[in-house]
Amino acid sequence: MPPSLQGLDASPPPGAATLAPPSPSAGRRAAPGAARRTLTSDRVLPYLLVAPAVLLVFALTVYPTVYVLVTSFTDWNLMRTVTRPVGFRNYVDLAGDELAIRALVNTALFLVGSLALILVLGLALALALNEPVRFRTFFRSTVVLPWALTAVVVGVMWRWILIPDIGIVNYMLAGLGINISFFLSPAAAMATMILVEVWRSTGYGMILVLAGLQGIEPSLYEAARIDGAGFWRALRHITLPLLVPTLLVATILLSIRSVNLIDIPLVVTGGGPARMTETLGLYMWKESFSFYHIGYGSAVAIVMFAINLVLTVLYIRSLSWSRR
Amino acid sequence: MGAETRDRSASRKRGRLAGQPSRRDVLKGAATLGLALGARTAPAQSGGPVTLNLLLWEHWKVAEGLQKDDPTNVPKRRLWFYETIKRFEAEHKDIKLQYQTANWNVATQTFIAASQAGNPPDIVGAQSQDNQPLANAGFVADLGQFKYGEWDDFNQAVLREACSVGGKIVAMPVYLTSTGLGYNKALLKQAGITEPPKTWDDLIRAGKALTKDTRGTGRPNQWGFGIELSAASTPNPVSFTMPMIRSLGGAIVDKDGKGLMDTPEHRKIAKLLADMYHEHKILAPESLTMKANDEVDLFGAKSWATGIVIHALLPPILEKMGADGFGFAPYPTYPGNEPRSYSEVYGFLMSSKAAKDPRKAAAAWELLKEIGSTKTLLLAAKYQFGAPSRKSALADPVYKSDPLLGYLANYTFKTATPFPFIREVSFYSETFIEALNLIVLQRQPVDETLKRQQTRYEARLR
Repeated sequence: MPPSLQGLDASPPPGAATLAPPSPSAGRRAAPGAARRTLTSDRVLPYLLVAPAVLLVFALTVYPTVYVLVTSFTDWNLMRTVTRPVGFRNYVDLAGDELAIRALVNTALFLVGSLALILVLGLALALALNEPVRFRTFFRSTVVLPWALTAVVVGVMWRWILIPDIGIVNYMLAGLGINISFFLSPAAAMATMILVEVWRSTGYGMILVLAGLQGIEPSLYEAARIDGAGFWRALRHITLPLLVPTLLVATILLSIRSVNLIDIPLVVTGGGPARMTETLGLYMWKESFSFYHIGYGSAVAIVMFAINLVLTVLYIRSLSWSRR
Repeated sequence: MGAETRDRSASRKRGRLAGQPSRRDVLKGAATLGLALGARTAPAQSGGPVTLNLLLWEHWKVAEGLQKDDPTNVPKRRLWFYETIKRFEAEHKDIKLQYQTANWNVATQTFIAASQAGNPPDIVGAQSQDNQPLANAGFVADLGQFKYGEWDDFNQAVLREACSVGGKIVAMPVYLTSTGLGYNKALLKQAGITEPPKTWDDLIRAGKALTKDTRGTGRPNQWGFGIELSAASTPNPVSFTMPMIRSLGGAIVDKDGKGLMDTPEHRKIAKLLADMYHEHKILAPESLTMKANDEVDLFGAKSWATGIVIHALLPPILEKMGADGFGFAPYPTYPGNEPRSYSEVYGFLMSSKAAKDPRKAAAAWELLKEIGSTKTLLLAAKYQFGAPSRKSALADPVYKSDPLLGYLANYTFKTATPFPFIREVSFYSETFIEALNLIVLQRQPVDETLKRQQTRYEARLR
């Protein structure tokens, strides 16, 4: 045995450990303080590092959500100094509130109408701009541009474009002997709101779908082409099935936005005519910040939160189903 | 496990004994430092300049100009306020003014929320209908506590109805504007109408002559009459229909502050508007979808030949149409009734917190006196056709120098009827406007609709 290994291989004399157990002080010497501190750091440091983010999320998301939930069980009114707990009264009132039910129906109409159009148009644009066309970057940027604009600006702009008698659209249509009242009937006003939202959000939908398209292996299309598949068959059997996760994510994000939407209805129609185009978001805003019924408005907000939660769970379940 | 914990604790203790600060010590120190720094953010104003915080309406677009000392950023019709503040600053070097802004329809709510949090602005501009809840909640000061010999000079109706709560004056009135019938002089002349309509029948006759399809689309684009009735311009439709109801001897509120909409006068007015829309076809459909202040463009584009307008909008309208192109007259009435008007009263209030600090209270009172002074009223007249809230100002030659300005000043001073205090005013307004929309636009029966909406409003009062 080489001398260098002798020591390593050498066993302590029998009974040495029992004869001379390490004393506490000897142990500290054997495991120095630095190592112990490292152990402590390893336990504490990760928590310290995530603490700012956790605190921020707690302060900006969890705490307000819990606060709104608690508020929804009170009759808090900004124009009164006394606030009392009212149990489930706000929720009971909400269930029988004709305007709230109408707002719920309007939200569903808005969600379905805008979502369908945004996804179809977004998919079409993504397919077109995924091809190596000239000025592709320019076209992609142009399509996304409305999404970069503030919703209030978009709403005001479209309002002025569409306003009867003095708007540019009716001015141009007058040449054809046509005049359309975009805001006068509830159906027309709702359609106008959906179109404004589609104009704004189609670029966002396109970006999401485009990201999904670029994740599809090109060799699949090549193989399909060799097998004689045309554009539509490739779309049906390759593109769409592989885009399902992306489309579901887009659906979740756009649905949550539609349910929470306040700005477009507020600016474009103000909920009119006759409060016929109010969505849940606008209804919540009016109750809370126009009528100052913070307690009742909070109950509406909790209902919106629940709807978003249910939609998200449904979509996530369908996502895992589609993966199976 | 327990031994390990004890061991770690012992190790920390040893670290401190050895003079090494633990992590906890460091965190404690940082927290203490943070608290100490935080406590320095509101220094006591025992000496030196007094700082006053003003909450102004965002749409005035005057705060940025004041901060930058640049009047070119301020719309011309708000220059009266800019010049008043600059004059005040020049005369009171020991008072520093800071500004924050809020959208006009949430300014009161912003003030309430800040008051509830214990940190309200010292001075706030508010609409007269918000004075009562602010005073009842104890958020604003009783201005009567300050020695002032000039209250008698103010328009007493304005002081009593718009600026007082429970006999205490809570707002310094500045100037007034009123609503009336605006009209396009050229269009009336073309239609052979020599003077603005005085009765509703006159207006309907004139409206039929003025409503035209000049583009040949089969739908008129020039309308005989317009009035804000839109949900998108709450609460203006209430303010604008209120004089029509009052002219008939009706009221929009009872003595307990309950808003009214199911009254004979409301029914008559709702029917009149519905008839103008469906039977006579003279009411501009945009009336039901427009936003506040769209009148400027609707008159400018000749979409409205006549319409109810607040005279605060005259500067931009006259800018578009010229002084010879636009006229302003009292509301039409039913025969035998006197025309009434709605007067918008601009008032400024002092927070009760500021009133408790003697130095702040003295400074804020100086500013309020300046804002309510005759000098300020004359500036408001110059820049915004502002009608005076004081008798002495009404005698100033400036109101005789311009016939329209003089007419507006006298008309407003005499017919001044501020918006009354109504419980749950926003909900009341929205509910009444919804009723008008349903009646005018969807031809829902007048009586049933108003009754249903009144019930819905009252349910919220309980």
